[in-house]
Amino acid sequence: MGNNDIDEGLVMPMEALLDGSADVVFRKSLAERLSKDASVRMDYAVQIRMHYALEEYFSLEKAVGRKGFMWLKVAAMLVLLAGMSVLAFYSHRRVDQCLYVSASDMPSLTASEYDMLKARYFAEHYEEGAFSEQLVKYEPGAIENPGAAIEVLQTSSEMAAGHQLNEGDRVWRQDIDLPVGQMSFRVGAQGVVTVVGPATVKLHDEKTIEIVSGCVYVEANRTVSLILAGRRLSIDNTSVGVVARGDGTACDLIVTDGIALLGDGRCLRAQDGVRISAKGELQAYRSLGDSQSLHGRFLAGVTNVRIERAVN
Amino acid sequence: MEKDVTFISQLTKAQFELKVYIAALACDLQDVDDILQETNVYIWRKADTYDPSRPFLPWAKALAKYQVLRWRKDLKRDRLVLDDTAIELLADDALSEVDHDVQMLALRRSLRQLTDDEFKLLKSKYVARKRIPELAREFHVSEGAIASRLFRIRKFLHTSISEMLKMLRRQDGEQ
Repeated sequence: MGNNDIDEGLVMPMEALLDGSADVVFRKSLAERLSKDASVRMDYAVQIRMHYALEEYFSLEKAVGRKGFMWLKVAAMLVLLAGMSVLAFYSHRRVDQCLYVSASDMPSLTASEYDMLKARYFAEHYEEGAFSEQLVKYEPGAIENPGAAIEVLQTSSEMAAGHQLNEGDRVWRQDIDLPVGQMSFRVGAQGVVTVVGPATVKLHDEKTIEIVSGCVYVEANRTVSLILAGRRLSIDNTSVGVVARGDGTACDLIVTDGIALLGDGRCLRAQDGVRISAKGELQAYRSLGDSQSLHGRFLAGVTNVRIERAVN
Repeated sequence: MEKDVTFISQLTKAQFELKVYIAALACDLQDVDDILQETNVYIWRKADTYDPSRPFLPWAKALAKYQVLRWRKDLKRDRLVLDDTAIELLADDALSEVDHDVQMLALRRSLRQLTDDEFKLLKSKYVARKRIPELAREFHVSEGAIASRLFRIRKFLHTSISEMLKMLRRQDGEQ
Protein backbone atom coordinates (compact mmCIF):
# COMPACT_ATOMS: atom_id res chain seq x y z
CA MET A 1 0.00 0.00 0.00
CA GLY A 2 1.38 3.36 -0.99
CA ASN A 3 2.27 5.89 1.63
CA ASN A 4 -0.31 8.38 0.35
CA ASP A 5 0.03 11.75 1.96
CA ILE A 6 -2.61 12.09 4.59
CA ASP A 7 -3.34 14.75 7.14
CA GLU A 8 -2.18 12.97 10.31
CA GLY A 9 -4.18 15.45 12.36
CA LEU A 10 -7.34 14.14 10.75
CA VAL A 11 -6.65 10.48 11.53
CA MET A 12 -7.53 10.20 15.23
CA PRO A 13 -10.63 12.43 15.18
CA MET A 14 -11.86 10.56 12.12
CA GLU A 15 -11.34 7.17 13.74
CA ALA A 16 -13.07 8.33 16.90
CA LEU A 17 -16.00 9.55 14.83
CA LEU A 18 -16.28 6.20 13.07
CA ASP A 19 -16.21 4.09 16.20
CA GLY A 20 -18.54 6.42 18.09
CA SER A 21 -16.02 7.52 20.71
CA ALA A 22 -15.43 11.08 19.49
CA ASP A 23 -15.62 13.64 22.26
CA VAL A 24 -16.13 17.38 21.82
CA VAL A 25 -12.41 18.03 21.39
CA PHE A 26 -12.05 15.48 18.60
CA ARG A 27 -15.22 16.63 16.91
CA LYS A 28 -14.16 20.27 16.94
CA SER A 29 -10.71 19.41 15.68
CA LEU A 30 -12.32 17.47 12.84
CA ALA A 31 -14.69 20.32 12.00
CA GLU A 32 -11.83 22.80 11.96
CA ARG A 33 -9.88 20.75 9.45
CA LEU A 34 -12.93 20.14 7.29
CA SER A 35 -13.74 23.81 7.00
CA LYS A 36 -10.21 24.70 5.90
CA ASP A 37 -9.15 22.20 3.30
CA ALA A 38 -10.96 20.67 0.31
CA SER A 39 -8.65 17.63 0.21
CA VAL A 40 -9.45 16.94 3.86
CA ARG A 41 -13.15 17.11 3.04
CA MET A 42 -12.62 14.59 0.28
CA ASP A 43 -10.69 12.27 2.63
CA TYR A 44 -13.47 12.62 5.16
CA ALA A 45 -16.13 11.59 2.62
CA VAL A 46 -13.97 8.67 1.44
CA GLN A 47 -13.43 7.41 4.99
CA ILE A 48 -17.15 7.44 5.75
CA ARG A 49 -18.02 5.68 2.50
CA MET A 50 -15.42 2.97 2.98
CA HIS A 51 -16.34 2.54 6.63
CA TYR A 52 -19.94 1.70 5.72
CA ALA A 53 -18.88 -0.41 2.73
CA LEU A 54 -16.57 -2.46 4.98
CA GLU A 55 -19.28 -2.83 7.61
CA GLU A 56 -21.58 -4.20 4.96
CA TYR A 57 -18.93 -6.44 3.45
CA PHE A 58 -17.95 -8.01 6.76
CA SER A 59 -21.51 -8.48 7.94
CA LEU A 60 -22.09 -10.62 4.84
CA GLU A 61 -18.67 -12.20 4.88
CA LYS A 62 -19.15 -13.26 8.47
CA ALA A 63 -21.99 -15.50 7.43
CA VAL A 64 -20.36 -16.96 4.35
CA GLY A 65 -16.57 -16.77 4.66
CA ARG A 66 -13.90 -14.75 2.86
CA LYS A 67 -12.57 -17.03 0.18
CA GLY A 68 -14.71 -17.53 -2.89
CA PHE A 69 -17.38 -15.45 -1.25
CA MET A 70 -19.77 -15.24 -4.18
CA TRP A 71 -19.14 -18.71 -5.53
CA LEU A 72 -19.40 -20.24 -2.12
CA LYS A 73 -22.65 -18.43 -1.61
CA VAL A 74 -24.07 -19.65 -4.92
CA ALA A 75 -22.73 -23.15 -4.39
CA ALA A 76 -24.09 -23.30 -0.86
CA MET A 77 -27.48 -22.20 -2.10
CA LEU A 78 -27.50 -24.82 -4.87
CA VAL A 79 -26.47 -27.55 -2.46
CA LEU A 80 -29.11 -26.36 -0.05
CA LEU A 81 -31.82 -26.33 -2.70
CA ALA A 82 -30.76 -29.67 -4.13
CA GLY A 83 -30.67 -31.18 -0.66
CA MET A 84 -34.06 -29.82 0.18
CA SER A 85 -35.56 -31.11 -3.06
CA VAL A 86 -34.20 -34.59 -2.45
CA LEU A 87 -35.45 -34.55 1.10
CA ALA A 88 -38.80 -33.22 0.04
CA PHE A 89 -39.40 -35.85 -2.58
CA TYR A 90 -37.74 -38.92 -1.16
CA SER A 91 -38.08 -38.56 2.52
CA HIS A 92 -40.35 -37.08 5.11
CA ARG A 93 -37.40 -36.22 7.33
CA ARG A 94 -36.93 -32.52 7.83
CA VAL A 95 -33.65 -30.66 8.12
CA ASP A 96 -33.81 -27.72 10.50
CA GLN A 97 -33.15 -24.65 8.32
CA CYS A 98 -32.09 -22.00 10.75
CA LEU A 99 -31.77 -18.37 9.72
CA TYR A 100 -29.48 -16.30 11.94
CA VAL A 101 -30.31 -12.69 12.63
CA SER A 102 -28.87 -10.10 14.97
CA ALA A 103 -30.73 -8.12 17.57
CA SER A 104 -31.61 -4.76 16.07
CA ASP A 105 -30.76 -1.34 17.43
CA MET A 106 -34.26 -0.39 16.55
CA PRO A 107 -36.31 -0.51 19.75
CA SER A 108 -38.96 -3.17 20.02
CA LEU A 109 -42.10 -2.28 18.20
CA THR A 110 -45.32 -1.51 19.95
CA ALA A 111 -48.36 -3.58 19.16
CA SER A 112 -50.11 -0.63 17.55
CA GLU A 113 -47.12 0.06 15.30
CA TYR A 114 -47.11 -3.49 14.13
CA ASP A 115 -50.83 -3.43 13.48
CA MET A 116 -50.20 -0.51 11.23
CA LEU A 117 -47.48 -2.22 9.26
CA LYS A 118 -48.21 -1.11 5.78
CA ALA A 119 -46.67 0.12 2.59
CA ARG A 120 -48.81 2.48 0.64
CA TYR A 121 -52.20 1.50 1.91
CA PHE A 122 -53.71 0.19 5.08
CA ALA A 123 -55.29 -3.20 4.99
CA GLU A 124 -58.66 -3.37 3.50
CA HIS A 125 -61.04 -4.97 5.91
CA TYR A 126 -62.10 -8.39 4.96
CA GLU A 127 -64.74 -10.35 6.74
CA GLU A 128 -63.45 -13.28 8.70
CA GLY A 129 -65.13 -16.25 7.08
CA ALA A 130 -65.33 -19.93 7.70
CA PHE A 131 -63.20 -22.27 5.67
CA SER A 132 -65.76 -24.88 4.85
CA GLU A 133 -66.10 -24.33 1.14
CA GLN A 134 -65.03 -27.20 -1.05
CA LEU A 135 -62.22 -26.99 -3.58
CA VAL A 136 -63.58 -25.93 -6.94
CA LYS A 137 -61.77 -27.16 -10.01
CA TYR A 138 -61.70 -24.31 -12.46
CA GLU A 139 -63.29 -24.88 -15.80
CA PRO A 140 -64.11 -21.98 -18.08
CA GLY A 141 -67.48 -20.75 -16.99
CA ALA A 142 -67.62 -22.97 -13.90
CA ILE A 143 -66.86 -20.10 -11.57
CA GLU A 144 -68.85 -16.96 -11.92
CA ASN A 145 -65.85 -14.70 -11.33
CA PRO A 146 -62.68 -16.78 -11.61
CA GLY A 147 -60.50 -13.69 -11.32
CA ALA A 148 -61.39 -13.37 -7.66
CA ALA A 149 -60.13 -16.83 -6.73
CA ILE A 150 -56.67 -17.86 -5.68
CA GLU A 151 -54.90 -19.63 -8.51
CA VAL A 152 -52.29 -22.34 -8.06
CA LEU A 153 -49.31 -21.34 -10.20
CA GLN A 154 -46.86 -24.11 -9.45
CA THR A 155 -46.72 -27.11 -7.25
CA SER A 156 -44.29 -29.84 -6.35
CA SER A 157 -46.27 -31.00 -3.38
CA GLU A 158 -47.97 -34.18 -2.30
CA MET A 159 -51.18 -33.50 -0.49
CA ALA A 160 -53.58 -35.82 1.27
CA ALA A 161 -55.67 -38.05 -1.00
CA GLY A 162 -58.58 -36.18 -2.48
CA HIS A 163 -57.07 -32.81 -1.64
CA GLN A 164 -54.35 -32.61 -4.25
CA LEU A 165 -54.13 -29.24 -5.94
CA ASN A 166 -52.57 -28.86 -9.35
CA GLU A 167 -51.35 -26.02 -11.50
CA GLY A 168 -54.22 -23.98 -12.85
CA ASP A 169 -56.62 -24.95 -10.06
CA ARG A 170 -58.49 -22.06 -8.56
CA VAL A 171 -59.60 -22.24 -4.99
CA TRP A 172 -61.72 -20.11 -2.70
CA ARG A 173 -61.60 -20.19 1.06
CA GLN A 174 -59.80 -23.29 2.12
CA ASP A 175 -57.35 -24.73 4.63
CA ILE A 176 -54.28 -26.08 2.90
CA ASP A 177 -52.04 -28.56 4.61
CA LEU A 178 -48.82 -29.10 2.67
CA PRO A 179 -46.75 -31.93 4.18
CA VAL A 180 -43.83 -31.61 1.72
CA GLY A 181 -42.81 -29.74 -1.41
CA GLN A 182 -43.78 -26.28 -2.54
CA MET A 183 -46.88 -24.59 -3.83
CA SER A 184 -47.21 -21.10 -5.31
CA PHE A 185 -50.46 -19.18 -5.48
CA ARG A 186 -51.35 -16.01 -7.25
CA VAL A 187 -53.05 -13.69 -4.80
CA GLY A 188 -54.58 -10.33 -5.46
CA ALA A 189 -53.72 -8.86 -8.83
CA GLN A 190 -50.00 -9.55 -8.97
CA GLY A 191 -48.85 -11.07 -5.71
CA VAL A 192 -47.32 -14.50 -5.46
CA VAL A 193 -47.27 -16.56 -2.28
CA THR A 194 -45.01 -19.59 -2.08
CA VAL A 195 -45.71 -22.09 0.69
CA VAL A 196 -42.89 -24.49 1.58
CA GLY A 197 -44.01 -27.70 3.27
CA PRO A 198 -44.52 -28.76 5.94
CA ALA A 199 -46.88 -25.82 6.29
CA THR A 200 -50.49 -25.00 6.95
CA VAL A 201 -52.18 -21.92 5.54
CA LYS A 202 -55.73 -20.72 5.42
CA LEU A 203 -56.93 -18.91 2.36
CA HIS A 204 -59.44 -16.35 3.57
CA ASP A 205 -60.15 -14.72 0.24
CA GLU A 206 -58.36 -13.79 -2.94
CA LYS A 207 -56.03 -11.37 -1.14
CA THR A 208 -55.83 -12.68 2.42
CA ILE A 209 -53.78 -15.57 3.71
CA GLU A 210 -53.41 -16.76 7.26
CA ILE A 211 -50.15 -18.52 7.96
CA VAL A 212 -50.70 -21.09 10.67
CA SER A 213 -47.38 -22.92 10.51
CA GLY A 214 -44.36 -23.32 8.28
CA CYS A 215 -42.40 -21.12 5.92
CA VAL A 216 -44.13 -18.84 3.46
CA TYR A 217 -42.60 -16.35 1.04
CA VAL A 218 -44.78 -13.49 -0.17
CA GLU A 219 -43.99 -11.26 -3.12
CA ALA A 220 -46.64 -8.56 -2.98
CA ASN A 221 -46.61 -6.47 -6.12
CA ARG A 222 -49.87 -5.04 -4.87
CA THR A 223 -51.56 -5.24 -1.53
CA VAL A 224 -51.64 -8.65 0.14
CA SER A 225 -53.17 -9.18 3.56
CA LEU A 226 -51.54 -11.60 5.94
CA ILE A 227 -52.81 -12.94 9.23
CA LEU A 228 -49.99 -13.92 11.56
CA ALA A 229 -50.51 -15.06 15.14
CA GLY A 230 -53.99 -13.59 15.05
CA ARG A 231 -52.79 -10.21 13.79
CA ARG A 232 -53.75 -8.83 10.45
CA LEU A 233 -51.31 -6.79 8.43
CA SER A 234 -51.07 -5.57 4.91
CA ILE A 235 -48.00 -5.42 2.73
CA ASP A 236 -47.69 -3.64 -0.55
CA ASN A 237 -44.90 -3.68 -3.11
CA THR A 238 -42.77 -5.54 -0.63
CA SER A 239 -41.48 -9.10 -0.40
CA VAL A 240 -41.45 -10.79 2.97
CA GLY A 241 -40.63 -14.20 4.36
CA VAL A 242 -42.68 -15.58 7.22
CA VAL A 243 -41.88 -18.44 9.56
CA ALA A 244 -44.68 -19.57 11.86
CA ARG A 245 -43.95 -22.20 14.49
CA GLY A 246 -47.45 -23.64 14.53
CA ASP A 247 -47.32 -24.26 18.27
CA GLY A 248 -48.21 -20.63 18.87
CA THR A 249 -44.83 -19.75 20.44
CA ALA A 250 -43.67 -17.17 17.93
CA CYS A 251 -43.93 -16.02 14.38
CA ASP A 252 -41.22 -14.19 12.38
CA LEU A 253 -41.55 -11.81 9.46
CA ILE A 254 -38.51 -10.57 7.53
CA VAL A 255 -38.57 -8.03 4.71
CA THR A 256 -36.49 -9.31 1.81
CA ASP A 257 -37.17 -6.62 -0.75
CA GLY A 258 -38.77 -3.18 -0.68
CA ILE A 259 -39.73 -1.06 2.28
CA ALA A 260 -42.58 -1.59 4.69
CA LEU A 261 -43.66 1.54 6.50
CA LEU A 262 -44.79 1.45 10.10
CA GLY A 263 -47.54 3.61 11.47
CA ASP A 264 -45.20 6.00 13.26
CA GLY A 265 -43.25 6.65 10.09
CA ARG A 266 -40.42 4.20 10.75
CA CYS A 267 -39.54 1.71 8.08
CA LEU A 268 -38.72 -1.93 7.89
CA ARG A 269 -36.16 -2.14 5.11
CA ALA A 270 -34.78 -5.21 3.36
CA GLN A 271 -33.23 -7.52 6.02
CA ASP A 272 -35.26 -5.97 8.85
CA GLY A 273 -37.45 -8.42 10.68
CA VAL A 274 -39.90 -8.63 13.52
CA ARG A 275 -40.82 -11.46 15.89
CA ILE A 276 -44.32 -11.71 17.31
CA SER A 277 -44.50 -13.78 20.47
CA ALA A 278 -47.53 -15.76 21.54
CA LYS A 279 -48.21 -13.05 24.11
CA GLY A 280 -48.23 -10.45 21.36
CA GLU A 281 -44.82 -8.98 22.28
CA LEU A 282 -42.91 -7.69 19.30
CA GLN A 283 -39.18 -7.64 18.79
CA ALA A 284 -37.31 -6.06 15.91
CA TYR A 285 -34.11 -7.56 14.49
CA ARG A 286 -31.94 -7.53 11.40
CA SER A 287 -30.93 -10.41 9.20
CA LEU A 288 -27.26 -11.04 8.52
CA GLY A 289 -27.91 -12.21 4.97
CA ASP A 290 -28.69 -9.92 2.04
CA SER A 291 -31.97 -9.85 0.11
CA GLN A 292 -30.87 -12.41 -2.44
CA SER A 293 -29.73 -14.89 0.16
CA LEU A 294 -32.91 -14.38 2.18
CA HIS A 295 -35.03 -15.02 -0.90
CA GLY A 296 -33.18 -18.30 -1.50
CA ARG A 297 -33.38 -19.31 2.14
CA PHE A 298 -37.11 -18.79 2.35
CA LEU A 299 -37.76 -20.68 -0.86
CA ALA A 300 -35.63 -23.51 0.52
CA GLY A 301 -37.81 -23.58 3.62
CA VAL A 302 -36.61 -21.81 6.74
CA THR A 303 -37.90 -23.56 9.85
CA ASN A 304 -36.33 -21.44 12.54
CA VAL A 305 -35.07 -17.89 13.01
CA ARG A 306 -32.46 -17.49 15.72
CA ILE A 307 -31.67 -14.07 17.14
CA GLU A 308 -28.01 -13.67 18.02
CA ARG A 309 -27.69 -11.18 20.84
CA ALA A 310 -24.18 -9.94 20.15
CA VAL A 311 -22.61 -9.15 16.81
CA ASN A 312 -19.15 -10.18 18.04
CA MET B 1 -48.78 1.28 -9.88
CA GLU B 2 -45.78 0.77 -12.13
CA LYS B 3 -44.50 4.10 -10.87
CA ASP B 4 -44.73 2.88 -7.28
CA VAL B 5 -42.72 -0.25 -8.03
CA THR B 6 -40.00 1.76 -9.78
CA PHE B 7 -39.96 4.34 -7.02
CA ILE B 8 -39.57 1.75 -4.26
CA SER B 9 -36.85 0.03 -6.22
CA GLN B 10 -34.96 3.33 -6.60
CA LEU B 11 -35.41 4.17 -2.94
CA THR B 12 -34.19 0.73 -1.90
CA LYS B 13 -31.14 0.99 -4.16
CA ALA B 14 -30.35 4.44 -2.83
CA GLN B 15 -30.17 3.34 0.82
CA PHE B 16 -26.39 2.98 0.96
CA GLU B 17 -25.72 6.31 -0.75
CA LEU B 18 -28.21 8.09 1.45
CA LYS B 19 -26.62 6.63 4.56
CA VAL B 20 -23.15 7.74 3.50
CA TYR B 21 -24.44 11.18 2.57
CA ILE B 22 -26.34 11.64 5.83
CA ALA B 23 -23.37 10.50 7.91
CA ALA B 24 -21.06 12.94 6.15
CA LEU B 25 -23.45 15.85 6.59
CA ALA B 26 -24.31 15.05 10.18
CA CYS B 27 -20.66 14.44 11.14
CA ASP B 28 -22.11 12.12 13.75
CA LEU B 29 -22.62 8.42 13.14
CA GLN B 30 -24.73 7.78 16.21
CA ASP B 31 -27.97 9.12 14.79
CA VAL B 32 -27.48 8.17 11.15
CA ASP B 33 -29.96 5.29 11.15
CA ASP B 34 -32.65 7.43 12.75
CA ILE B 35 -32.13 10.24 10.26
CA LEU B 36 -32.16 7.73 7.42
CA GLN B 37 -35.47 6.33 8.64
CA GLU B 38 -36.95 9.80 8.78
CA THR B 39 -35.53 10.57 5.36
CA ASN B 40 -37.13 7.44 3.88
CA VAL B 41 -40.50 8.43 5.21
CA TYR B 42 -40.06 11.99 3.99
CA ILE B 43 -39.03 10.78 0.53
CA TRP B 44 -42.04 8.47 0.45
CA ARG B 45 -44.37 11.33 1.34
CA LYS B 46 -42.80 13.51 -1.33
CA ALA B 47 -42.96 10.77 -3.97
CA ASP B 48 -45.53 12.67 -6.00
CA THR B 49 -43.12 15.57 -6.48
CA TYR B 50 -40.43 13.38 -8.02
CA ASP B 51 -39.95 13.81 -11.75
CA PRO B 52 -39.01 10.35 -13.11
CA SER B 53 -37.24 11.91 -16.08
CA ARG B 54 -34.57 13.22 -13.69
CA PRO B 55 -32.01 11.18 -11.71
CA PHE B 56 -33.39 9.86 -8.43
CA LEU B 57 -30.34 10.15 -6.18
CA PRO B 58 -29.74 13.92 -6.33
CA TRP B 59 -33.43 14.49 -5.62
CA ALA B 60 -33.37 12.05 -2.69
CA LYS B 61 -30.16 13.63 -1.35
CA ALA B 62 -31.78 17.06 -1.36
CA LEU B 63 -34.55 15.67 0.86
CA ALA B 64 -31.97 13.90 3.04
CA LYS B 65 -30.14 17.17 3.51
CA TYR B 66 -33.34 18.80 4.70
CA GLN B 67 -33.73 16.02 7.30
CA VAL B 68 -30.16 16.50 8.48
CA LEU B 69 -30.72 20.22 8.88
CA ARG B 70 -33.90 19.48 10.86
CA TRP B 71 -31.97 17.06 13.06
CA ARG B 72 -29.33 19.74 13.64
CA LYS B 73 -31.98 22.18 14.77
CA ASP B 74 -33.18 19.73 17.43
CA LEU B 75 -29.70 18.90 18.62
CA LYS B 76 -27.89 20.23 21.66
CA ARG B 77 -25.34 22.83 20.62
CA ASP B 78 -22.38 20.91 22.04
CA ARG B 79 -22.90 18.09 19.58
CA LEU B 80 -22.90 20.35 16.57
CA VAL B 81 -19.53 20.60 14.91
CA LEU B 82 -20.01 21.42 11.26
CA ASP B 83 -21.49 24.78 10.44
CA ASP B 84 -23.84 25.20 7.51
CA THR B 85 -21.08 26.57 5.27
CA ALA B 86 -18.95 23.48 5.80
CA ILE B 87 -21.95 21.30 4.95
CA GLU B 88 -22.37 23.17 1.67
CA LEU B 89 -18.72 22.53 0.86
CA LEU B 90 -18.80 18.76 1.32
CA ALA B 91 -18.16 17.32 -2.10
CA ASP B 92 -19.84 14.31 -3.60
CA ASP B 93 -17.62 11.30 -4.02
CA ALA B 94 -17.44 10.11 -7.65
CA LEU B 95 -18.34 6.62 -6.47
CA SER B 96 -21.79 7.80 -5.46
CA GLU B 97 -22.79 7.54 -9.12
CA VAL B 98 -21.77 3.88 -9.30
CA ASP B 99 -24.22 1.05 -8.67
CA HIS B 100 -23.80 -0.20 -5.11
CA ASP B 101 -23.53 -3.88 -6.08
CA VAL B 102 -20.73 -3.02 -8.48
CA GLN B 103 -18.94 -1.09 -5.73
CA MET B 104 -19.21 -4.07 -3.40
CA LEU B 105 -17.89 -6.42 -6.05
CA ALA B 106 -14.94 -4.10 -6.64
CA LEU B 107 -14.38 -3.91 -2.89
CA ARG B 108 -14.18 -7.69 -2.65
CA ARG B 109 -11.53 -7.69 -5.36
CA SER B 110 -9.61 -4.85 -3.77
CA LEU B 111 -9.54 -6.59 -0.40
CA ARG B 112 -7.53 -9.37 -2.01
CA GLN B 113 -4.71 -6.90 -2.52
CA LEU B 114 -4.29 -6.35 1.20
CA THR B 115 -1.66 -8.15 3.21
CA ASP B 116 -2.80 -10.76 5.74
CA ASP B 117 -2.03 -8.35 8.56
CA GLU B 118 -4.09 -5.60 7.03
CA PHE B 119 -7.00 -7.93 6.46
CA LYS B 120 -6.69 -9.20 10.02
CA LEU B 121 -6.86 -5.63 11.26
CA LEU B 122 -10.04 -4.99 9.28
CA LYS B 123 -11.59 -8.16 10.68
CA SER B 124 -10.76 -7.12 14.22
CA LYS B 125 -12.30 -3.74 13.55
CA TYR B 126 -15.42 -4.75 11.60
CA VAL B 127 -16.18 -8.30 12.71
CA ALA B 128 -14.94 -8.30 16.32
CA ARG B 129 -15.90 -4.59 16.52
CA LYS B 130 -12.87 -3.68 18.57
CA ARG B 131 -12.13 -0.04 19.24
CA ILE B 132 -8.81 1.71 18.76
CA PRO B 133 -7.31 1.02 22.24
CA GLU B 134 -8.10 -2.71 21.99
CA LEU B 135 -6.72 -2.86 18.45
CA ALA B 136 -3.54 -1.11 19.57
CA ARG B 137 -3.03 -3.74 22.27
CA GLU B 138 -3.76 -6.60 19.88
CA PHE B 139 -1.33 -5.37 17.25
CA HIS B 140 1.28 -4.07 19.72
CA VAL B 141 1.42 -0.55 18.32
CA SER B 142 0.28 2.87 19.46
CA GLU B 143 -3.31 4.01 19.08
CA GLY B 144 -2.19 6.65 16.61
CA ALA B 145 -0.43 4.02 14.48
CA ILE B 146 -3.52 1.81 14.40
CA ALA B 147 -5.79 4.72 13.47
CA SER B 148 -3.35 5.70 10.75
CA ARG B 149 -3.25 2.15 9.37
CA LEU B 150 -7.02 1.94 9.21
CA PHE B 151 -7.20 5.35 7.56
CA ARG B 152 -4.67 4.35 4.92
CA ILE B 153 -6.31 0.99 4.26
CA ARG B 154 -9.68 2.62 3.65
CA LYS B 155 -8.08 5.24 1.42
CA PHE B 156 -6.21 2.57 -0.50
CA LEU B 157 -9.38 0.51 -0.98
CA HIS B 158 -11.21 3.56 -2.27
CA THR B 159 -8.46 4.34 -4.76
CA SER B 160 -8.31 0.72 -5.85
CA ILE B 161 -12.10 0.55 -6.38
CA SER B 162 -12.08 3.83 -8.32
CA GLU B 163 -9.26 2.64 -10.57
CA MET B 164 -10.91 -0.72 -11.13
CA LEU B 165 -14.14 0.98 -12.17
CA LYS B 166 -12.29 3.40 -14.45
CA MET B 167 -10.61 0.45 -16.12
CA LEU B 168 -13.93 -1.33 -16.58
CA ARG B 169 -15.40 1.81 -18.13
CA ARG B 170 -12.45 2.05 -20.51
CA GLN B 171 -12.90 -1.60 -21.51
CA ASP B 172 -16.61 -1.00 -22.06
CA GLY B 173 -15.74 1.97 -24.25
CA GLU B 174 -13.30 -0.06 -26.34
CA GLN B 175 -15.82 -2.83 -27.04
